[in-house]
Amino acid sequence: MVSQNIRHEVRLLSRNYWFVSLSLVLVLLCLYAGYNGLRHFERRQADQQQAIAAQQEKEDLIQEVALNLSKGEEHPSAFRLSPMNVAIYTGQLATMPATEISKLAIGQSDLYTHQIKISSSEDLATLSFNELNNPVQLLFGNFDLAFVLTYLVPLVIIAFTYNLRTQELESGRLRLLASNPINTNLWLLQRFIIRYCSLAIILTFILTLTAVMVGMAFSLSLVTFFLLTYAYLAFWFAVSYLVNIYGYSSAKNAVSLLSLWILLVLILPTVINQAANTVYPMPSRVTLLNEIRQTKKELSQEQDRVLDEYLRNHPELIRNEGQNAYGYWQGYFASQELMEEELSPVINRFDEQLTKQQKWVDSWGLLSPAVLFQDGATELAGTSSKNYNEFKANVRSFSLDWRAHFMPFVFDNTMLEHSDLEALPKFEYRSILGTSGVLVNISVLLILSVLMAIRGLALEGKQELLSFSRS
Amino acid sequence: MMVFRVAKKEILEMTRSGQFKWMLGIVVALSVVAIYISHVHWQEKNLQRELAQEDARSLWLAQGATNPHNAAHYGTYAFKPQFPLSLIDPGVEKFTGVSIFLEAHSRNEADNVAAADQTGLSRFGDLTPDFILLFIVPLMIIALGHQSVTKEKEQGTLRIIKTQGISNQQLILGKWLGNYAPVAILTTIIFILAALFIRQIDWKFVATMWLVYLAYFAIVNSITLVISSFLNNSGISLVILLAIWIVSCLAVPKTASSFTNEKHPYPTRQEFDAAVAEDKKKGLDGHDPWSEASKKLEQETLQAYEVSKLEDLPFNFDAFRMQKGEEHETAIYFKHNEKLKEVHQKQTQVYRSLAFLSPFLPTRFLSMSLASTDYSTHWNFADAAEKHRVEMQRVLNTNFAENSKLGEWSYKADASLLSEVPEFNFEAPDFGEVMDANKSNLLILTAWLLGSFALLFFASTRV
Repeated sequence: MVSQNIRHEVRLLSRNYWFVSLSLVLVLLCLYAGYNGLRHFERRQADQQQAIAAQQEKEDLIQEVALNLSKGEEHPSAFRLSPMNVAIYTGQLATMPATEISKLAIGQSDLYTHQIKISSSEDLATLSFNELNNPVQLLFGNFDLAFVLTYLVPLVIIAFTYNLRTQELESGRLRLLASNPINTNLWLLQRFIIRYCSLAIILTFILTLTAVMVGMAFSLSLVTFFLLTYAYLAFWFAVSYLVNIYGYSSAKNAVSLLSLWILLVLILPTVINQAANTVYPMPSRVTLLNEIRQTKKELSQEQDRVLDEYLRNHPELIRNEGQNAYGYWQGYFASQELMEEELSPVINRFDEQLTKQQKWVDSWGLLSPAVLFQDGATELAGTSSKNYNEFKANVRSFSLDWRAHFMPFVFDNTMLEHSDLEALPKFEYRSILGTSGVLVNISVLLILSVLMAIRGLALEGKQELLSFSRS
Repeated sequence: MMVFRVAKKEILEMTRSGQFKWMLGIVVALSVVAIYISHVHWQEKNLQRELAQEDARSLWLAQGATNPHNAAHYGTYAFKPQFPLSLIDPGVEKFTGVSIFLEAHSRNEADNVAAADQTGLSRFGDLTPDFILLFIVPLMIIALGHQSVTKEKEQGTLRIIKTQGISNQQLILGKWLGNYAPVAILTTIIFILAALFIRQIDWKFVATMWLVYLAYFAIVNSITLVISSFLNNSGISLVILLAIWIVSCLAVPKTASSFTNEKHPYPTRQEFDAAVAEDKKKGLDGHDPWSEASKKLEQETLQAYEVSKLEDLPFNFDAFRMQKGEEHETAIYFKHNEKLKEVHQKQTQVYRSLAFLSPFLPTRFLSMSLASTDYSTHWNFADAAEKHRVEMQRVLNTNFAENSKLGEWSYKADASLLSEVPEFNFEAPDFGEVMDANKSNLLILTAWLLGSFALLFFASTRV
């Protein structure tokens, strides 16, 4: 049965004018989406390189000054080696490099910046990670490959499978088939699997073509992306299989499948999102602004108390000259640090709420294959909100280290030397996300597909046919 | 009248179908939830902003007697008010900041972008009334109307109807009305329901927005009937209409945004800041008396007042220099923001010229504009905040210059100075301005409306 089925399906598909032309349209759409992704990637890279170069220039300058001074020469810009200058003006650039897969899924990368200057004068509470952007563009989103796969490909699947069984039923051929000693549902499943494989092969070809066009090298992440796509396809084929078995008319099947598409791709994600915002509402940022100001004001009014308190907690910084020797900068650095300490519970409230929202989305997202796919694809691409939360957390913790590193210099009132520049902390974006989340999404999609297929197989195909003919 | 009889029959048939009841039930339920949730969020945010605005003002005034320049550095916040119609269409609000810090020497960007505090799912959209109106209602029109004519052909009833002495135009118009009436009623109910929740309602805006959506749905309805008239098979009609829906509501906006950004890209924040810093370095820094620009200003001022020493000037030169520096910096920010605005205007131009590709685009832009949640209103807000900041600096620096001597940094102005700085107040553009700014969108929407009717007329001759 299998080989006959395969031959039959291949013949049908290759003669199906619609299938061939839609595949061609799909090629064009994917290539265009790939091009958009590539351009986005290139811009992101170029912007980052430019920012890195500008930062390098600043760092080279202090290197040069330090080198001159270490040789015992004088330099007009010697003040640049003061800890305040290095900590605040020179600062350091925190960057989040783009991954190759981000060419396929732009995700949140149009919303956030990927290079941010770390300076000891910045308050973490108001540090902005948003990129300058036209909000209309953010509202509409991007035409990237993830969009084509999430929204359009399911419709192609629906168009080519909605009547696989009902067509036979309506033309009366199904009864002829059923009179043979075969399980009609198994026969139908085979047709679905064959169509699934055909589309998977075509998409593999299209995706490979796109990947080559955008200059992607073969990698494990790319393979995972392919697997995710196959799993997503499988889900929609399985849904269509089940609808085919339950449905009696092609027209009704089409309406049911399209309604499911609207529900799963369009409505569910927005409902889950809205629910997450309602169940775990974010505290108000605008209220936070005034809280910050209040805290700042209190600290600045009591500069002496702040310094005292700070030194009580950091006795290692107390020098023999006595507290009175300390001036503006010591007070400034101490109050900055105390402020971060005082505000950190407030800021953590935001992070906690966001983490809860993310958990809610992760669990309810299981209801929508579109969410699973989008989530997995952006996570692979390093452009999911989880990645950006990681980046933000990395930046925040590095900022604290950065300030702490300069504290002894500030309180010692000493300038940095050439050797000190080598010892400056370096920012590096570390992601511990890995691909485990993506593998979970792939597994969920596959398990759901298999369950639906088993359910369809378990239904008595012929029995049902009899009852249908009786009615 | 034949037309009304056909329409009546269509509606009657619809009310008898289970599919229609289900669909209507779902859309109504979604609308009610969307309006209610939007209302709750709206009130919450409104309260937060009003409180924050009050707090910011009282913190500003609580500084008491202080040095004017210290007060300038302490600064204050400008908050964007929540506009009433944002309950129906929050537009780009989620992606624009709501607060701007007003301080000496720098123009800050609007901050606190709501989308940054949400998960990636927020990019799928929010369950708000505009989502239902823009995306779901057109789908409902398609679901109801795709088989309107094809069904008659499939069942062979078309010939019977024609024997009753009805013209093709009358039949199609009747079907158009029959399909449109429930949608128009639903839209009206959504608007009335939303209006019940809106405070300080301006009927001109609400009524225009209602008309815009009615026009949008009329276009979708005409296209649906055109396709249904041309084809003989309901299934194919549905697939084609859905393809049109996806292209118009999802693909075209996304393509437009990718294309626009490609053509006129924004600089990154890093680039923008660097360019501003570069220009600032070249000119006068109010805090740096040793720079070349400061020395030049010194000479010019001494000459103008015909005195030899700064101490002999009738005002505090430090504060005067501060104000001059401020003016220089303001000019730089103005220049760079104008450049940015130019990019924004070019981008808007591209969006507008692409609006003829899909009736979704002019509707989307008009709706946001009427709700004062579009990007232009945000620009207006940013400009108003900057104007306020400049005025604030002028008041403070003038007081400093006139009431203190050179080097008298310990000078403290009376607390009443702080209340001389006016409270920040931002008004949304009025109706005339909104209509004026959206002339091309209105034009394109009208063209779509007329075009789709013309097509419908043509299609009716081919039934």
